[in-house]
Amino acid sequence: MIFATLLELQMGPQDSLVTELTSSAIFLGILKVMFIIAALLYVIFSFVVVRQIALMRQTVVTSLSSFLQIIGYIHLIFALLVVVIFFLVL
Amino acid sequence: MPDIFDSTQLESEETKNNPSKEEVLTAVKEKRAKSHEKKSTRKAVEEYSEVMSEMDAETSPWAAFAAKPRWTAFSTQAPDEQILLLLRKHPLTQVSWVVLAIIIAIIPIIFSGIPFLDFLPATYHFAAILGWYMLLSGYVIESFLTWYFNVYIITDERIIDVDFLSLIYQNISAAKIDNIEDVTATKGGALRSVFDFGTVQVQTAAEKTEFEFEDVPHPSQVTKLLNELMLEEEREKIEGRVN
Repeated sequence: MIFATLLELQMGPQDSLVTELTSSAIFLGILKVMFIIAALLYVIFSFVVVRQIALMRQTVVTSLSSFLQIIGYIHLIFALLVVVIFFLVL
Repeated sequence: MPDIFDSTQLESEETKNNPSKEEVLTAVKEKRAKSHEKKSTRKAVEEYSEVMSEMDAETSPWAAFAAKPRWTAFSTQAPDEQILLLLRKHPLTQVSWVVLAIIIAIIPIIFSGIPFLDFLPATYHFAAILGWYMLLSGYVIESFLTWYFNVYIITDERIIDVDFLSLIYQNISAAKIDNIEDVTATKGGALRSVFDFGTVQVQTAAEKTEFEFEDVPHPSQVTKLLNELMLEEEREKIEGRVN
């Protein structure tokens, strides 16, 4: 609250220009693309994690291995869901 | 008649090169009998190892010091090879990333009162927070996997160092107990002394000359076990029980 009040007090004509610029469709469009690209890169990462868990559980077999594999798949599904959410919400 | 035309000799040579079914079966039976003999001459680890006789089989899959771990195996394990000890880094060495993960998790809550993203619509706020926690989940999973699967294994025949240094880099080194030349345990610092963990260095005559079991629990017990195994290997050689 204190920070918000301070920011409001400091706002001048330059700040309103910044607000206009950032709320413009082009800026938000670029930001949306950036969010989606980042999420897609994360999907690749989580896919690599799934492959890595598969390789690890082949190398060292424990009673927890299958549980970890499930965690890997849940993580991948979560990453895919985030891409879908970014597409729909932004 | 010259030798070259002697058909009986040709037949006997053929038999020598291509053994009959019965011969193959006999050879397999002999091999099995030899293997069974080897198994029966091998002593149970509790008979010669004080460390192993004092410990019960570990059932927890999380343990950093797992003696005779149940439901555990590794890719290059021989059928009659028994895992005696499975070691991971002491859980205390993992505190740093756990604390960092907790800090990362609470950052959005702490900064929720500060409107530094207020110039963006609410949906972008939501996306930023979602992305933040997604990155956090990746960090936690990766850190845990690195700890969980980077293991040191001591079997009745070998020592194995399994390293997953990054997402795609895997390194498995092994050395036979016979090849071990020197074992040293190092415990430096107050934390290591209080919680009894440290580094065990194993010098070998194998291709990889040094194995380092970094920050493992009870390093003196590990050293003791390795010494007992080395002694047993020596005894096996003397008594002619070598595989």
